[in-house]
Amino acid sequence: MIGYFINHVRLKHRILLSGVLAGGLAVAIIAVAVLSFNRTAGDFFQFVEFSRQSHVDLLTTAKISEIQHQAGIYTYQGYRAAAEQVEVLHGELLSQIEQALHQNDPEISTIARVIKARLQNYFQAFQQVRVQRERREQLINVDFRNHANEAELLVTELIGLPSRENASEAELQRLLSTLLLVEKHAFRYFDSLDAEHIKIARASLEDARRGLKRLEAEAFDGDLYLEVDDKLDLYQKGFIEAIQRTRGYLYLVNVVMAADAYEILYQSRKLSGVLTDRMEQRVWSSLASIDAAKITLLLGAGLLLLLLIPLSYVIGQSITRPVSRLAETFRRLSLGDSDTKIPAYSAADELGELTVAARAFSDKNRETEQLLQRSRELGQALERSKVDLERSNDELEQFVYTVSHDLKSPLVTSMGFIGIIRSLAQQGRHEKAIGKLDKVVKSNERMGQLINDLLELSRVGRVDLDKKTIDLNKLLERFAHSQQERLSKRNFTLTIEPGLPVVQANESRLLQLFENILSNAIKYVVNTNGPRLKIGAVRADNQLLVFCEDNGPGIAPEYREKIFGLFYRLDNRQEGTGIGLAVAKKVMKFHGGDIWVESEPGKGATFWIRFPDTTGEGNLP
Amino acid sequence: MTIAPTDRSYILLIEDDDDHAELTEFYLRDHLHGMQVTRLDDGGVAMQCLQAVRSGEQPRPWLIVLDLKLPKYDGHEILSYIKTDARLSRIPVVIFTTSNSSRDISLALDNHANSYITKPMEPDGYDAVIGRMIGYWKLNQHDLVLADTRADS
Repeated sequence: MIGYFINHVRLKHRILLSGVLAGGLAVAIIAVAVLSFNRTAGDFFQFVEFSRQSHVDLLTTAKISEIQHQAGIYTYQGYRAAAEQVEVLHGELLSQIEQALHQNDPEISTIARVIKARLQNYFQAFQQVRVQRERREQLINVDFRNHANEAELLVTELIGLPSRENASEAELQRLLSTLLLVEKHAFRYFDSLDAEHIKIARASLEDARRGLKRLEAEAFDGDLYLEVDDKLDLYQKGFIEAIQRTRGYLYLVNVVMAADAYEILYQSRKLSGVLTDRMEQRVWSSLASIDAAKITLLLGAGLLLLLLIPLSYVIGQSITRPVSRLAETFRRLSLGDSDTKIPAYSAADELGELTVAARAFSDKNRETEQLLQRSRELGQALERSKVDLERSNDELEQFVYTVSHDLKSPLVTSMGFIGIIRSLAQQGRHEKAIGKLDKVVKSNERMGQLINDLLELSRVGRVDLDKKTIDLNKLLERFAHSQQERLSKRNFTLTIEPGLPVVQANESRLLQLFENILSNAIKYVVNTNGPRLKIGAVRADNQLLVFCEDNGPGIAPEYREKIFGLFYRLDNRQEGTGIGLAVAKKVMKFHGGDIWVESEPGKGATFWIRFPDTTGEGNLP
Repeated sequence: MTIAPTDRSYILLIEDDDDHAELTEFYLRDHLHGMQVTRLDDGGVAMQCLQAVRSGEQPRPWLIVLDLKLPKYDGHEILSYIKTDARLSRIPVVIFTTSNSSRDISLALDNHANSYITKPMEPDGYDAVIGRMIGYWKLNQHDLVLADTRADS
């Protein structure tokens, strides 16, 4: 995954991608939140709607109660206003129920339909009640009252007739009072609807009719009694009808309408319950949907986070890993570790370019370092050759200087003496002039000697270059032998000690070296008793050093270097040109070794000779 | 003809080559009648002599003629010794040598040599060179009253 990112997506795009992902995450979370809120808001609106409806239903219930109440008032009190109020309420209820009927909820519309049907029944019953009630009013207030009055008037007429006996008059008075009693109880019943009054009224009426019958049988004037009897018949009929009507509407009110009202109330309560249930359902579903939204949000955010974390890790790693690797590389490069491996990072992104740059940088670094190393080496070589050149230049200059001085010297002498000779000759002092000629000759001879010595010196390292293995023991034995005559003439002792090394050297140059040392010794070790030179070898620093020890006057420290200089002589009175030790030095330098002197004035001098490779002690003969 | 340097006045010739010394002495005497010439043949002896001059054991020379190539101490060392010592530095020193190398000349002049003369390599050279040397230094030395001696010889 990381590898894919590193290899295929540019850094810029990776950062862009992570930004887009983060933005996308935010947008997604916001979208989920908005959706959830919308749902919750929808639920809330539905809840509000239901709440409004249930309020309507509560109103319905209240109206039904109000209708019942108004109907009751009308029924018992007979107030027309109450009946009209019932009709108004009925209209309002109907329109409300129509609304409920249009609900989509089948349960609610079913209930509404039942309520509507009941309401229709109820209202029809109420219409009948009104009819019955109107009729009863008619009966009571008009028909019944008229019949009663007429009967009472007839009875009063009978009482006024002159032919009457006292008894019958008393009977008639009782009949009238009985009739008045009936009327009183009838009206009381219609007022209070108390059934006791009906019994009393009926019993009194029967009693009146029986009295009338008795009177009729006793009386002479029967026609009048018959008229009263007819009136009493009508009176009784009207009374009974009024009672029947009363009972009929009471039945309607108390049974039919009450049942309907009860049913309506029941249905209305049921509707209210249903609505409450619906409302509760809404509330619970709203709460549930809020919970669901919450969970969805949390889950969504968590899921996106879970997705984003590894993704951002991948992107981050894809950036930081090569960067830190590169940083480490650059750090090591900056420390001059040119062998630092540039991480193999072939991706096509900015870091890849950086890696390429780092590689180029490193390569250049290495190249530069190599160039620097080369130039340093060349510089050192140049410096070395410069030093060598300067040294040989100095040597050459010194050589030329010395040679010119020492060669000029005899020239100056001979020219000077020629001048003297010439002037002596001009003065006529010929003998003295001839005597001076000797000086000229000698200086010329010296010039010749110097030239020979110089030639000899120039041969060292130029001719006789071949080296071979030489056993110094044998060489020096031969040398001592060859010098025998010269040594014995001067009473000089040369001792060759055993244990000399075997060396790689040019034989004739070595012989020249020892001859020069010996000549030097012979020259300077003259005043001593028993002049001698001892040649031997000692081991020092794992190396055999050859020494040539004399018992001469020794050499003061300040001259120990100078004596190896060309044409340098410690004593001008001694013969020689001062070239012997210069040759010895050059011979040893040519062989890669060295020669130096150690001495204490008065105690002789020791020349030390070091060869670069002493293969060991040679064999004694 | 008259005289000569003051009693104790002399020329100090420091020269290792006997033949050269003989030539120089010959011409010095030729040009300065009666002038004493003391010759020293190596650097070591010359140093001892100069130390004696310095301490007053030895009279001051009128002029020092100094060769450069000498055993033990060379001419430059001796010159440097003379010219760095307060008591000796006023003695004129004429470098008289075979060398005409620029190194020697500049070193000698740096060390305050009063003259630098190369030894001649022609038969009449010595006479001319020494004559000119004496002529020059005679004029520059006020404590000497020297007669022209050439007419007498």
